[in-house]
Amino acid sequence: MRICVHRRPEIRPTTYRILYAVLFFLAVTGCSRQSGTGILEVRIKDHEEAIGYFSKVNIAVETVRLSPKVGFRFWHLGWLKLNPTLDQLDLTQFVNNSGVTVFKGEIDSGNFEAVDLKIRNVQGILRQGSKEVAIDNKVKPVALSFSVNPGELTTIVIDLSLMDMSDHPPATYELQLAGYEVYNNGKLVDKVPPG
Amino acid sequence: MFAIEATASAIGYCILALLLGSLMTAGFLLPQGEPDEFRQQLFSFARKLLPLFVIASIISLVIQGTKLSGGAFPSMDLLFRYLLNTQSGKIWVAREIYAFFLLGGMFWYGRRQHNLTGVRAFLLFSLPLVASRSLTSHAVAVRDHTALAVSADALHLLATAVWAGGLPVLFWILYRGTRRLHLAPSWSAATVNRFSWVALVAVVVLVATGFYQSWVQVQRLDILFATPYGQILTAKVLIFLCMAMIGALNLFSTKPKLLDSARTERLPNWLQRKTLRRIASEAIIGLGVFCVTAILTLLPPGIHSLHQANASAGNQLQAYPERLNIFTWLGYLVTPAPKLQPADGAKITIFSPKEGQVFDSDEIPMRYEFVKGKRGNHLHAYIDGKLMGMFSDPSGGTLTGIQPGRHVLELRVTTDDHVTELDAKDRVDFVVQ
Repeated sequence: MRICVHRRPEIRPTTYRILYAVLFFLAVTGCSRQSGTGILEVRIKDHEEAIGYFSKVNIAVETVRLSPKVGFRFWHLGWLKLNPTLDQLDLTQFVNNSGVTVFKGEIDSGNFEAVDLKIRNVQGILRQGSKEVAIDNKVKPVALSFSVNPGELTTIVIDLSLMDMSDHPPATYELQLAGYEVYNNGKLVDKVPPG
Repeated sequence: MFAIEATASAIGYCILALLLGSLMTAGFLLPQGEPDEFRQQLFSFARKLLPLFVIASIISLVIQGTKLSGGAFPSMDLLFRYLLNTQSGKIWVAREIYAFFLLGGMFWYGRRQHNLTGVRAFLLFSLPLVASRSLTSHAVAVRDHTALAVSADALHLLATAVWAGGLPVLFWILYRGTRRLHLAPSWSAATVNRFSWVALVAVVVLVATGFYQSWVQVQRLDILFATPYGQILTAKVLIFLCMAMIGALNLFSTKPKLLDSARTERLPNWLQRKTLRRIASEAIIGLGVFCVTAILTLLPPGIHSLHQANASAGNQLQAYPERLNIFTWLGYLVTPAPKLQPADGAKITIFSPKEGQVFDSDEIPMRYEFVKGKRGNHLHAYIDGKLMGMFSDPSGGTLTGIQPGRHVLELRVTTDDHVTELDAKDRVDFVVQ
């Protein structure tokens, strides 16, 4: 006579603990998102370098992108695109002042880890000879940790810098990102570079 | 514009290299300066190269002016301002004046005689014209030991000109001497023998100065492969190795065969052809070296990328992937954030205010311990990220005008350039009522 013994697969207590820990972690990260909307304002200003050579520096802003902080929920990775409220500006008007608003609007509150100011085109007109020159756009996405809290105003001031690179041919003039400031309800909370 | 500028630069290099090569061959390589006909022709050729050098320089000047005027043909006013107000402009003027004097001297001398001493003297006078190119090279921008860097660059230029510029001239005299004038095999053997010694010394100088310059301008292996300057430099080294291999072939194979033929006083046709073919190959590769060098002089040195990275670290901006997916995002996560400059022994510890301390007035007295270390000079005091003051006192100071509310005080050690902040900082929260 053959005796069949069907053994019930047993799960070890350690495995249960790990599973509970993972579920708890996912639940916490899943529920940690703040609900509601806040106001985000993105401003642009110029950090005075070579802009004095120009009578006009026209920047066409394509979009402003934010990268939400996703933690371990990497499947939520992606850029949040914001349509600019102002898509054309003359940077020479915003040298070392509070700058100009390129986006202001309500967005879902949350934490973010990067900003990308996508510029479609930059054209400059030199003071001398009123000649139009192309400016190389070197503005790239930058890691910037900030949060938009429900009902609060978060302002990001992006500091652009026009650099004269003519002593490094074939480069001529470049638009670079010099730094940023983050304000929460008008109070400065982060500034790079400091000072 | 870049291609035109590189071409003009390469032509300028080739002209000066041929000038040195012709005068060196006329003055030192021809056995006893013989035959006279060659010496005269080479001297005359060198003289004709000088006006070409002036023309190439004018073209380079116009290109420079075009760049400065944003792509338009430059005005005379702009060119004059460039020539009189910039260092490279002044050096351009000095070199042209020198070239005119050299040309005048060569004309005056060439109409009277062509003796060996005179040719050698003009070779000597030509050296500053070639070497002065280093005064507008990347070497001038080297901060430490600038004189050494410029001297190394000048020696590198001279060695390249003597070796690579001498090869086409050697080819020409060997061709003329063996095929047209049917000179004795001992003449060819003696000429090649002398050139091989010159080339050997040139290679030693090139390797030594080349290593030094690469170290100064590149410094790191990753920069060598990651930057356009590093990549072109790698190409130049590879071309140089090819040239050196053919040079070694000539040294260890062609030269002994020519010396053997000199002993037997019989130079077979196959050996003539082989000798000319090998020298021509080496000369053509030498031309490649000039072209690559011309591109290198126009590119920003590789080390600049390191400076840019340092600058980025200095202002603490960290790049973020433009195309966001799991792979680029993981790459961002594992990339270390830009760091402040190393502390090098600098240290700051805040004793007062204490964490959470409450003040009744807008004056905040600070007590701290400040160790300057090797590079530290003073402290930057930030309140909520805003620079509020600078302090050089080693033990304390007072901040004034602090508004009511909760604030963060951060002190950072800074170098004497007032920009570079070191990885030495301390922070504390306090409240003003």
